[in-house]
Amino acid sequence: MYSTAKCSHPGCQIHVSEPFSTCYHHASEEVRHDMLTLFSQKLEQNLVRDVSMVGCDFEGLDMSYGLIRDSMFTFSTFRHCDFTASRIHTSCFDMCIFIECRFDRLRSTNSIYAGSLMKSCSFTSSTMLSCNFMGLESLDNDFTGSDLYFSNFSMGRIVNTLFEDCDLKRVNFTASAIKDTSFRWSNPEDAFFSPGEVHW
Amino acid sequence: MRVRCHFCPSGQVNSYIVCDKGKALIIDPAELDIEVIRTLEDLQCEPAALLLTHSHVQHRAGIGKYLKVWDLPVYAWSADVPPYKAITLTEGQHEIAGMSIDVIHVPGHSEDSICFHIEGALFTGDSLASGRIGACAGMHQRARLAMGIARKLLILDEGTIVFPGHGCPTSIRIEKTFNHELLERQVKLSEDFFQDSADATRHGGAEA
Repeated sequence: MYSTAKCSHPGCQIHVSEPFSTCYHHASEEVRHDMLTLFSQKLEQNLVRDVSMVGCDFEGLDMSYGLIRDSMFTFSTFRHCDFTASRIHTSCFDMCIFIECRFDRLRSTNSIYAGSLMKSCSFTSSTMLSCNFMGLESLDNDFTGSDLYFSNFSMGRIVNTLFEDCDLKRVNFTASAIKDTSFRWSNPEDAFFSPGEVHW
Repeated sequence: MRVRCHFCPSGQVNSYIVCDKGKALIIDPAELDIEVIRTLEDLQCEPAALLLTHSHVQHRAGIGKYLKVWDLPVYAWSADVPPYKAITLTEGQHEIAGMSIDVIHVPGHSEDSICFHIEGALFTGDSLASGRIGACAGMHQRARLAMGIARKLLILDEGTIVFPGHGCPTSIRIEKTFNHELLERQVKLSEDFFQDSADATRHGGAEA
């Protein structure tokens, strides 16, 4: 489970994972290297579990076919990362930035992506059950063919995004600003929108 | 500590299995099915207690099955959980199955609604969910619930993960930022505050 220990740097509220006492941001170069080495070891095993990498920058990370469970990546940035066919369960990616990442055939349950910025990411044929995308800033993303049952996209800004051929049963889009977004071949009548909004 | 969510389709309720050192707390035992058994085996733990966030029937429909298989104590705010008798909890710290649990009473959705704060996880039942607060029987109860959430839950560490009785998990930081029902209430409180301040200034000015 997520560590509840805080960074030892005065005033820093970021959670740290054992055996480290500071967050990535406040760690020395040597400790940062150790953190990344430990993380890459977990990546090689395709099993990332109980990891707290808050506020980190990842570029070209390959997590395809891997399992991420009980981990925390809040305030992190992911550029050109590959999560194809991975499984993400009970993990936190809130307040993150995702740019040109691939999440095709992802299976994610009970995970948090709220408050994130997603640009040009692909989530095709994914299953994302009970995931939290509240306050999402979505630009040019593709959720085609995904099952989004019970997920929450409320209070977000969704622009030029494809929700085609998706299962939108009980998906919450209330209070979201939705523009140039397609719900073709999906079931938006089973989703929740703000009163007066019709998106199909 | 590990947390696993079990979704019960009838009633669309989340049950939670909180496991630490081989013992598991079952929060809101909505159903006991093969998925729960598999999760317990996967975590290599045995149920040690059943905890209820409130006594609404869909959140406790599985108690009977659990008690047929294991001899477990049931903990709740109120002792009356027909047809069972629960051990009553009071607000504050409790030690159950070796886990330190902070019980927080947040009435509004129901009189017996409580939240369980265990390490960095908060189990809110129907009091607080992702982007909304619990349904209440009237404006007075709703105001009471919103006040309880603001005073008792939103003061917790922003990184606390919230596991609600329905819907997806969230965190205190996200609810503070995006929960429009709480934001609307904050705006209302601010408006009232500024109105009161303006009235006080006007009256003060008139008296002067």
